Amino acid sequence: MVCILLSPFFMPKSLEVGRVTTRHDNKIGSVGDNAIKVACLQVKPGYEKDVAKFLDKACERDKRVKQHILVKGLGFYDIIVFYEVDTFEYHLSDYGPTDGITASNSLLCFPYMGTNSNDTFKMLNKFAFTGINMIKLATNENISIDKSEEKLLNYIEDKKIENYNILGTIGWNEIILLIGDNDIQKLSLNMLSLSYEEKLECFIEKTFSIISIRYRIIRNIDVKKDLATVKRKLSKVPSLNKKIPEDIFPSIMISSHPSFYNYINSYWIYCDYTTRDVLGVNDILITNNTKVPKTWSHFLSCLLYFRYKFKDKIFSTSTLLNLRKKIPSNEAYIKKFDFMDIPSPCSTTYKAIPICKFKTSSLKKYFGTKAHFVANNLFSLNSLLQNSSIRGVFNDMAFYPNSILKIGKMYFEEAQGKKRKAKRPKQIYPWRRPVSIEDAGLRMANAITEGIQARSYGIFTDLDHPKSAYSRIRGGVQRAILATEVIPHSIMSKLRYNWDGFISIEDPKFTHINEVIKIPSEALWRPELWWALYHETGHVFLTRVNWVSENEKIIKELISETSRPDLFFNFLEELVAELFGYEIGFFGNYDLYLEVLLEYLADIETTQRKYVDIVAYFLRILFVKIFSLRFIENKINDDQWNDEEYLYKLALAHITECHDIIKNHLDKSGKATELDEPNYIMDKYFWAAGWVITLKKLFNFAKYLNSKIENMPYTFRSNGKVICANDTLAYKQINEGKVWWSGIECPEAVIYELLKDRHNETIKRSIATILSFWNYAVMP
Amino acid sequence: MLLSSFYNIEKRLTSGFFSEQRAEMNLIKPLFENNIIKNSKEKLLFSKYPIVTLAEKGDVLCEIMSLMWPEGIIKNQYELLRNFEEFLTAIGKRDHFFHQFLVYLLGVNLIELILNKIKSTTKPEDIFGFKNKKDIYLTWLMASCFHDFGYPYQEASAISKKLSELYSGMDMDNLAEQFTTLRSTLNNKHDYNLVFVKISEEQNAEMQILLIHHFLLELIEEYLDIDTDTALKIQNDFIIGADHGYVSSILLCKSVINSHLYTTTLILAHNAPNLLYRTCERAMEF
Repeated sequence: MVCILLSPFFMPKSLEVGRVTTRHDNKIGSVGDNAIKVACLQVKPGYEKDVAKFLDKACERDKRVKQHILVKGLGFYDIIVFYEVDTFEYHLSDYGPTDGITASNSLLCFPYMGTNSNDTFKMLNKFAFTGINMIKLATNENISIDKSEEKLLNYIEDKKIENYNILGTIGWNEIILLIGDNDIQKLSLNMLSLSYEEKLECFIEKTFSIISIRYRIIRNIDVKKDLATVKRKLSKVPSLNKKIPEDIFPSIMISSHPSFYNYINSYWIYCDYTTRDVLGVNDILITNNTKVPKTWSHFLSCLLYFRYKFKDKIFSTSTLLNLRKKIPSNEAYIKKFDFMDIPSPCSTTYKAIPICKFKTSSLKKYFGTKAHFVANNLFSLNSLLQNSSIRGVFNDMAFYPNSILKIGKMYFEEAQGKKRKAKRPKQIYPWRRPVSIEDAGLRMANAITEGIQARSYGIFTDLDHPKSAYSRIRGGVQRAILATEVIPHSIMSKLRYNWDGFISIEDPKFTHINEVIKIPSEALWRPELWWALYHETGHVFLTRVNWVSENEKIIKELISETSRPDLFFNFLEELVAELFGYEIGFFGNYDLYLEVLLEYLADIETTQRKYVDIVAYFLRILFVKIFSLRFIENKINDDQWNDEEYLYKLALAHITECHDIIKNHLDKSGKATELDEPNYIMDKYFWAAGWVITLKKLFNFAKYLNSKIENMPYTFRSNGKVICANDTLAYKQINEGKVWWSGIECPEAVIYELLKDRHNETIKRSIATILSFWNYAVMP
Repeated sequence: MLLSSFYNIEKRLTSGFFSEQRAEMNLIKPLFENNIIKNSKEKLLFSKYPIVTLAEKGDVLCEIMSLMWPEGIIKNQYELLRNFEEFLTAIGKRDHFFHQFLVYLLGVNLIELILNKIKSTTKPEDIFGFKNKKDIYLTWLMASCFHDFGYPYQEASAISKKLSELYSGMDMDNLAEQFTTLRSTLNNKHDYNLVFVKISEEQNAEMQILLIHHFLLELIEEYLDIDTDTALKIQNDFIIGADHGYVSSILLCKSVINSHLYTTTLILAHNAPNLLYRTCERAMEF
């Protein structure tokens, strides 16, 4: 996985040309119509019914939920709810907490490989049992993701699995294979085969499987009555009233208070099961007494009644389905084991990244009292990077610790200046926004915590990480995160710089802390918002080129006239980042840039206002406009830039134009209110006059900036041309809801096409974009 | 223009306009909305006025005045007043330089309110004496923006009185006399600039040359309907007290060619509350 991210430089990859078509071509990479969220819950024993009722009601009340179905899980999760929605935004969490849920995981899915959401729900409703196989596909130099997907389809065909449905996810695992059957035995065998068959070769890296029962079957069983009643009711379900075959035996792990051991043992012996005391996290193991074959209904009745009867006496139960393995062909292996070479793991996920090494004494020097907090975060990331089963999820964060050390050192030396003997300096950026070095360390360390949390949710290979309780997003979004990272990596690499940061999540707006770019959760599933990454990447770029430096004469002159250099620096940096974003991503299409930015700002206005007033953006945009008129399009001359009357007219027209776009957008999206005109319109004359003063003053700075851009030895200015023809083809395919497997030369070109057609946004297209970008990120 | 204006702008981006700025903006906005200020150069200057720093405000105001003031009349005198104002504010005296402009803005808003209110019932000339809105506003511009031009003299006179008393008490009579001289300037019959006023009742009509004090006395008598003896007493009090309203009216008289008799009377009377009331009362009667 993440081969590009293993390299400090994101080098453009050789794009695969002319993929060989296969019989599954119409299915592979084909995204279905809607979003399906899968909420997996662990429930306190005895509380299933209440929780299920709560979920059912919540789904029915929420008009955004088109259809839903509940299943009872046998295994790690007790209740699983599938629900169809338009986007991955928050849904069930709107209905508040309910008693009994001890852990939850949310999988952000979509119908995949030629299916649609109706097919999925039809299948879930049709069969008594559904096998839920969460599959993490393998990828390496020899096998790309589309090939792995194809092999999986071949395998399903070879195994003659008839009733299946495939969901894709934007989380850690790529695929959820749903297999429906009324015969639990057949289903179990099919599912277990996915975990051990050699035929699977190297295309599956890990599976996580749960067998589930349609909740409707057990909904009316009253566990509050006696065990015999429960048994009688369940035995009436034909698909359950079959004997469990000899080679499958279910077992249950129970965690409980010691004082109840004897009661628990008595209960299971009464049910004709064997009990074992266990040392470890769990305390009692219940296994099948093979002498007397039992039915599935008997097993389930005993389990359901047990969870109710012991509801406040046990901590948890975990059901396992065990398959007795037949290994005649493996005898040879056993005999030769001593002489065998075990092949290396096939997936690149297993590749180790060197961990960050540091001296705590250096951290103390840089970050003072916060040094141990920084160190603890670095230790945590290092330990995750050494866990071979999950490190693939955190690999993209691996370079940031070194960046923290570098930045800490730089701050230290910058503030210390020539006074080598001076004590540890108290502030960084003496000319900029005053931030103590300790706080800077704290913020960088917090960025690591947040990054880890965003990536921890929805990983299945380690029991410690099925969820991250404090994650901002309650859903696995690892693929989406990697997809978004393609943009800063790609831009920085084109400019011949590396990017040491990663993407983290913070609502409600895009922001950055040095190398780390934070995006709002919505951006994870809406590539139409990814253009905002250009601006944040612009900030990262500025740290490399240092154009806004207090050592530059032009900057010195400007700040000599202001009493708040910190605000002034911030303002100049924002202007450069804005211009960078425009030049990188909008190919000279100012109208598109203006509309896209303002529509976005209008959408987030209420929360955005807390940070920066929308009028501040008007000024930034106006700077971009006049800069473009003067230095990119050459439509005005220096005198016009310095003509106050001309600037004033331009500024007034600009405010009116901005207002019209916002109003139009709010009217169309139904968000318009009957309130008074916004302040920026009422006060437009005064804003415009202020901007005239500012813009005139910025003329020399703009000239300086333009010379810097023109003298860059590599591409920065698009001059209105979309240079990557290949990506227009990519967009066409993505627009049809199909993943583009051949790599994306210029992500900005794809986003540009998306933006032009932004009013026709569909979840299908969004997901196809995410997967195409993600594929590019993990392409060998 | 200093970049500190920029600082103001950035500060507003996070904290909004200050209440003083907002008050000035609210006075200026109706001028744009009612097309009293149409030209973009003037609009720009008026828009700058509330948002720039105090140091920059003076420049902006002088520019506004040089644009707004009728051509050929009192040009650049605002700049002169500004220089003196710096001295007065330095010794703790109240601002009159910006004050005149704010009075103008306030008055324009009031005039606009009155015009809107009477729209259907009364003609503007019945109240303001002019048919044309432009004339109303021009008159008001002069009345408001000139009414304190005599203030430096009043202050200087007060200072010189104190200096005169000081040196007289120190038996330095010659020096004391020097400061007394300043106080009698208004009565100096040899100062040509203070003697005559050129006035014509109608445009293009023949000019009359009048003695300025006589002219002002006539205004008090005629426009305020006061008998000659009382008017003389009032005028004498003005002269002795170096009343800045009286001085301002003299300055206006000697500058303005056409008749702005209301304006001159208003300025003359503005520092005497009883007379000001009478002026307004008389205006309403007219």
